[in-house]
Amino acid sequence: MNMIKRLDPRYLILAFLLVFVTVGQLYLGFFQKWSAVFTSVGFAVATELFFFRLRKIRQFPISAIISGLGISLLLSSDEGWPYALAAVLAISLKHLIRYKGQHIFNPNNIALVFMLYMLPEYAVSTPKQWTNGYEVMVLILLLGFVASYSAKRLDTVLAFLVSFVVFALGRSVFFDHPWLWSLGPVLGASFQLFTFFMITDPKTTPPTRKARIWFAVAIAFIDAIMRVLSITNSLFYAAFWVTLLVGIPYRYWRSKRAVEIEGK
Amino acid sequence: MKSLRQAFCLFSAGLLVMLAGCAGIPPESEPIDHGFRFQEITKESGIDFIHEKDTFDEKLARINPWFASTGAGVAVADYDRDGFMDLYFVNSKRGSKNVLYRNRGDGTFQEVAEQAGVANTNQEGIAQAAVWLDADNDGYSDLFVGKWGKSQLFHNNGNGTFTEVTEKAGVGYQGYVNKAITLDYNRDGLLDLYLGCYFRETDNLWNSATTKVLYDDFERARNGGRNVLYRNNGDGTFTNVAKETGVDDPGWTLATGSADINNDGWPDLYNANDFGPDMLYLNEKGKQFKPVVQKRGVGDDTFKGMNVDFADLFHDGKLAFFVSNISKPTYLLEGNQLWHENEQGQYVDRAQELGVIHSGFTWGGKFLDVDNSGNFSLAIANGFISANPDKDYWFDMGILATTPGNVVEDTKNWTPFEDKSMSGYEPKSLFLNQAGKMRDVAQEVGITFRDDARGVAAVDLKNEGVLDLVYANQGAPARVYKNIHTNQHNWIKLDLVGRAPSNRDAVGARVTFTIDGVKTVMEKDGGNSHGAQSDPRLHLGMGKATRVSSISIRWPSGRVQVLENVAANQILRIEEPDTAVPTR
Repeated sequence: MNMIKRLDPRYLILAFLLVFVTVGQLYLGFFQKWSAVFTSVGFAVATELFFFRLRKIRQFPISAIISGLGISLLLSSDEGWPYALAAVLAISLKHLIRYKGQHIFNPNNIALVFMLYMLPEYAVSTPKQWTNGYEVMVLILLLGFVASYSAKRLDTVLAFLVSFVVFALGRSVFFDHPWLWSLGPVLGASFQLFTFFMITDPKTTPPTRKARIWFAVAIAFIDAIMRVLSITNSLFYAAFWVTLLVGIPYRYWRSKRAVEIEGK
Repeated sequence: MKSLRQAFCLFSAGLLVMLAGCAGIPPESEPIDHGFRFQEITKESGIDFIHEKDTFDEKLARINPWFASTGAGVAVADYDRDGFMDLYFVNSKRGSKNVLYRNRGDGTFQEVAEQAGVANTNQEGIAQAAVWLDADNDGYSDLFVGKWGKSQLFHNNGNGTFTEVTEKAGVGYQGYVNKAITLDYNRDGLLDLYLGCYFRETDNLWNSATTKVLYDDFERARNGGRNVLYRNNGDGTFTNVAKETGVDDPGWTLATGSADINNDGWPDLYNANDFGPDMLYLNEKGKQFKPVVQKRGVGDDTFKGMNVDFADLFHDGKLAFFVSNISKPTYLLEGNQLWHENEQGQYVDRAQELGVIHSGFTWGGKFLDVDNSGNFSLAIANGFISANPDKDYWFDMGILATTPGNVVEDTKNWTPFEDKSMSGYEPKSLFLNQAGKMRDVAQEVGITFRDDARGVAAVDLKNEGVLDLVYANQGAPARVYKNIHTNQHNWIKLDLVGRAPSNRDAVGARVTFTIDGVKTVMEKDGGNSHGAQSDPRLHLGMGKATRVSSISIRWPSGRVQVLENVAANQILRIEEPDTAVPTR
C-alpha cells in the first residue's frame, strides 16, 4: 500500500484507463474504435504542448494523455471530429479557465458537458455496460479503488457511491421507480469512469476530506434531482454545476481565509 | 417538474452559448424538383386499412407499448394474375382482420380478404409478417402469414380464393415470427421458408408464467426465439431443417433477408438481430450454412438490427446490404450499416461515407430506383412509439442500457411505459442516390407523414414504369404514395418465370443489365426488408438511354440466358428457356 501511495497517482490512473481501452477494444467490442482513441489522445497532447509552449512549461504531457483516453471512453460518436473537438476543448479550457494558478473545472467534465449539451446529434455519452456481466465490472471496480486510493480520493469515491445509493433508494421509494433501475447507473461504464476517474481529479476536488465528502454528496444530490426530472447525462451536469456554484466560492473562501490567517 | 427542467435547460443554455455561440436550427425543407415527386393517394385509391395493436399479459403490462410495437406489414403480389400488383396488409390485434386489396388497375383497390379466405388469421395469436410464394409451382402465389402464435399457410386456389393448408403442410410453427421470407436454399426448384423469430417460443406473452421474457444482454443477447427454416419437400409438406443446416439463430431476429452475397450461385442469409450481433450465413451448396463473423465488422456488431435489403449500389456486382439500426440524439447514435465487400473479402461499413447512417429509429429499408436513373436509392420506414409527445421513454431506456443482462431481461425492472413516446413522430427518410452520395429528400418530394412506419414496399401500382411506395404503419393507417415523374427517364421491368429445376417464381435469379456501358446486378428476392415484400418484378431505370445493351439472366437452375438490344419502357415477361441445365 505504501508503494501505491508513493507513486504519482496519474500513472495509476493512466494504467487504469489503458486497461479500460485495451479490454474494450480487444474483448468488449467497444463502439469507439482505435481511431477514436488516437484522435482524442493526439489532439489532447497537441493542444497541451501548444499551451505548454505558450506558457513556457517543460513537462511530459501525461495529463493530456489521461484526458484523451478518458474522452475516447466517455464519448460515443460515429464521426472523428467530436473526439478531436472534445480533446481540444478539455485541454484549452484547462489552461484558459484558472484561479490562483489552478484550473477550476475537470477538463474532461467541462468538455463532456459542452459536447453532450451543444452537440447531442453528433456525440452521446457511452451508453454501455461491461459485457452485461459482472466479472469485468468487478475488475474495473478493483482497479478503480486502487487508483482512487493512490490519488488520495478514496473518500470522495466512497462518499459519492454511498450517497448515490441512498438517493437511488429515495427515488425508488418516493417516485415508485424499480429499485434495480434506480440503482442501475452504478453498474454502467460511464458511471464507473466518472466515479473513479473524473471526481477523483486532485486538482479540481477540495483539499480537505470533509470538503471532499460534501463535494461528492452534493454531486450525488444534484444528480438525483436531475434524474427525477429525467435529465440525461446528469452525472456530468451535476459535477459541472457543483464545481461552478460550490467549488469556485469554496476556493475563494479558502484563499481569503488563508490570507487572513497569514495576516494574523 | 417540466418547468424546473426547462429552467435548468435555459440556465445551461445561457451559460454554454457563451462558449459555443448559437447552435443553428436547420430550416424546414422546401419542395425541390428532383425529377420526381410523391403524392399521397391513400384515400382515393380506396385503401382504408388501419393497423391495430394488441395487449398482453397483465404481468408484462408495464411495458405493453414495447411489446405491441411490431406487426405492421404489407406484402405485394399479383395473386389473381390479372397483371396488376395486389396488396396484403397484416393486422396485429387478436380478433382483428387482415386485408387483401385487389388492384383494379385504374389506381383503385377493392378489399377482398374475407371472400378470399385470408382475413381471419388473428383469432389465435396475431399476424406479424406475410410473404407471397408459389409454394407448389402452379403459377399462383400462395400466402404465408408469420405470427406471434401459430403461423399459417394459405394455398391459392387460382379462382380468387385460398384454402388454409397449415396442418397438412406442417408449417404451423408456434412462436414469435417477426419476419418471413422465401428462398430456394437447396436449389431443388421448390421455394422454402425462413422465419425470423423474436421472443422465445417457450414463453406465452398472453399468459406468462414469468416476467423474465426479454433480452439477457443489451448488446450480445442470444436468448431469443430460434429461427426456423422450412424445407419444401415437394409433396405439399415442409420440414424444419434450421438446426441441421445451422441457421437456427437464437438472436432476437427482427428481419431476415436472402441474396447470393458471395455470388457463388447459392442464396445466402442475413439476420438483422435486435440487441445483439447480426448473423451472416453463407450457403454451402444447399447442405449447410456457414456463419461469417469478422472482428469489429459484420456479425460482430452490438447494435439493434431491424432490417436487411440488398442492392448493387456500386455497380460492381457485389451486393451491398443495408441494415437498419437506431439513432437518437442525446441517447444513442449507433446508426445504420451499409456493408460492402472489399477486395480483401472484408465487409466494410460504408453507411457514413454514403450518408445513410442516421434515419432515426429505423425499421424497414428498401432499395429502389426511385427516379429511374439506373441507380438505387433507399426508402426508409422509421419511428418507434408515438404517444404523448411531451413524454419520452428514452431517459428510462438510457438507464436500462447501462444495467447488466439479468436486470434487463426482467420486465419488472423496467419503468412503466405509460403514455410516453419513444422516437415517435419521426419524419420519414428517402435517400436519393446522387452521383454516389445519398441525400435524404423525403420532405422535399412530398413524403411528409409521421406515423410509426414499419415496412415500405416499392411497387408499380399501375404498371406505369415508376415505383410507388406503400407504407405499413404500426397502429396507424397504411399510406400509399404515387410516384410522379417529370424527368422523362426510361425504364425496363422484368417479370421472370422460372422453369424446373428453377422455382417458378424465379426467386434467386440474378440479372445483369448493361445500359450505356454500366452494369447493374439485380436479384429477385423472396420478400427482403422488414415489414414489407415489394413488387416481385425487377425494375430498373435507364436515364436517357433508350435501349438496354444486354440483359443476362442467371436462373436459379444455373441456366444463363442473354437478351440483347432490348427496347426501353416495357414490362418484359421472360420465361426460363428449356435448355440443358449446367452441372452444379
